[in-house]
Amino acid sequence: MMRYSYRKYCRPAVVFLAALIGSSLSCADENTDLQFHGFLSQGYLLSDGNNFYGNSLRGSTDYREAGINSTWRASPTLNFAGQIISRDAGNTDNGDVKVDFLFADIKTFESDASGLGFRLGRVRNAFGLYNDTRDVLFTRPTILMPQAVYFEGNGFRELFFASDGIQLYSYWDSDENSTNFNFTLGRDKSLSADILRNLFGASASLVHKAEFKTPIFMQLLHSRNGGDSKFAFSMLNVHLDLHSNSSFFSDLTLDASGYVFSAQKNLATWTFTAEYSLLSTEFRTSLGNEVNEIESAYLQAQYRIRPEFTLTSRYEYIVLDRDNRSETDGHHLVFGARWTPSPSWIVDIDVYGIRGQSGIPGVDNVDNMPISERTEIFSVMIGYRF
Amino acid sequence: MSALFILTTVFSSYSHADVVSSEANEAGVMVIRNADVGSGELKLADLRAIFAVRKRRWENKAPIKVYVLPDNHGLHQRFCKSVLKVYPYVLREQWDRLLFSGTGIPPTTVGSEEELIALVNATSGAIGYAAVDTQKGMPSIEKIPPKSSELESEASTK
Repeated sequence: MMRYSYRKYCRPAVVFLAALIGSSLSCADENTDLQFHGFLSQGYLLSDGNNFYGNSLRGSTDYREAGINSTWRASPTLNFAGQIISRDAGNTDNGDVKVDFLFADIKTFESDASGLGFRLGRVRNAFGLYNDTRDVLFTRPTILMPQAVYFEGNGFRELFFASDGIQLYSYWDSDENSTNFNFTLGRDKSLSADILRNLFGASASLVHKAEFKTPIFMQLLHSRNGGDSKFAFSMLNVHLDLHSNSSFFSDLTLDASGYVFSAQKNLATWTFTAEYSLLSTEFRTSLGNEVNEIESAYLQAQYRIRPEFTLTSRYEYIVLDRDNRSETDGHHLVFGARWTPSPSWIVDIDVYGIRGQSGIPGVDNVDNMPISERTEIFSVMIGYRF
Repeated sequence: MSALFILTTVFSSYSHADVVSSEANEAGVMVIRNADVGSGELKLADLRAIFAVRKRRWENKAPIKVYVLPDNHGLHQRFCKSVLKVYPYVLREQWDRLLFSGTGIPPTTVGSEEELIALVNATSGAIGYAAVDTQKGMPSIEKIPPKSSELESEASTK
């Protein structure tokens, strides 16, 4: 009951706060070292085949994101940054207000061509090209993140999302190029029942306690000619301890290590992006081990007809088990149009054609079993930022 | 290469203005700085690091404050293409990533070129850009009265 009340009042509170700050603080003196910004986006999804974020077979508005962030430059070498976020995405995310990031950024070294620093607190993990700002419509290519590489629908997003720990960052510049290195070491944390439900579906009720142990994220990003070309290698290594409350289901551990190769070419009117991901998972129980490899990749082309009007197309390929490729593969085809009538507003219209079950949120389809092998989604999303 | 060479030539405006500028490049754009950060050479890599907010301090350790015009402003686009040699949308993506991951504070966007020059004039550690008045061959910086108190109040009402 307490939890219900909390949700009931927090969601409108965030929306209200976003509107309030948008109307008042954004017009504060931007010359100060304390700034507030935020975003709000509301989606509509209509699907055929399966539900995606709410009851989208009948049309769903159960997809919205809102966040407010603040940065404070205490000194040239010390910044503080924090963001709270509320995300509602069907049954996969319930709109609770969460601390998205909150950290102190200490830049310990800076020369003409290089720099090094640390961030302490809750930091976003740099993983692939889009993970660290994936919940902001303005900083992702389409309404739904690529299911390949970013696994938006099936619960992995929670594992990739953010770490409570320490992040080391550094860069080296030359005349034309810049290279960034980012390493995050997170501390142990318990996973909430909601995250377990997204990950394991009905089996989640068998899990009594789940602990995420010392996650590691690393990214090496090489940016050529001021960002015209970008190449990145990202890596993660996580360990999960699952304790069962059932005598039929022994305790188990899950080790996951993943790699992402990313490449992007920016031209005057075109942007081409490709990312490849290999995620290896190993379940260990008293009864034995099971190793599984998830492979995914996408190719994306964006064409700017005008600076404020962009067309996007993307092909995604996902294999949930490399040893069983033909039965676990999925293909996603995405077409989208984006209109940014002003820097503060964005309107996206996307169409998704999905073959296979990869990326389809199981928790949205409990009453729609079995999950169909074919899904079409039409979606519109409007976003505002300040 | 020519742009780099031009940027190394520092031009000081007349005595009461607190702004120094590089000489304009072939597109008629010059980089301007508050005089208190010195007039040392800024290479392409320096400018890219400053406008991408990787570099946060001047050589004298003072914080760098970057001022820019809106993305769709003609001068901003000329600056991006001819001085930084990046597409404006690529720079915007970099700034948005900083903003929404908390890893940096993007430059302050101001509404007009006059306001930008005035703020660079009035703000310690500031950097921005301006278009050269080709008719007079002199930067428009000189037209701005350097009354910092007025300028600050103007900025705060923006």
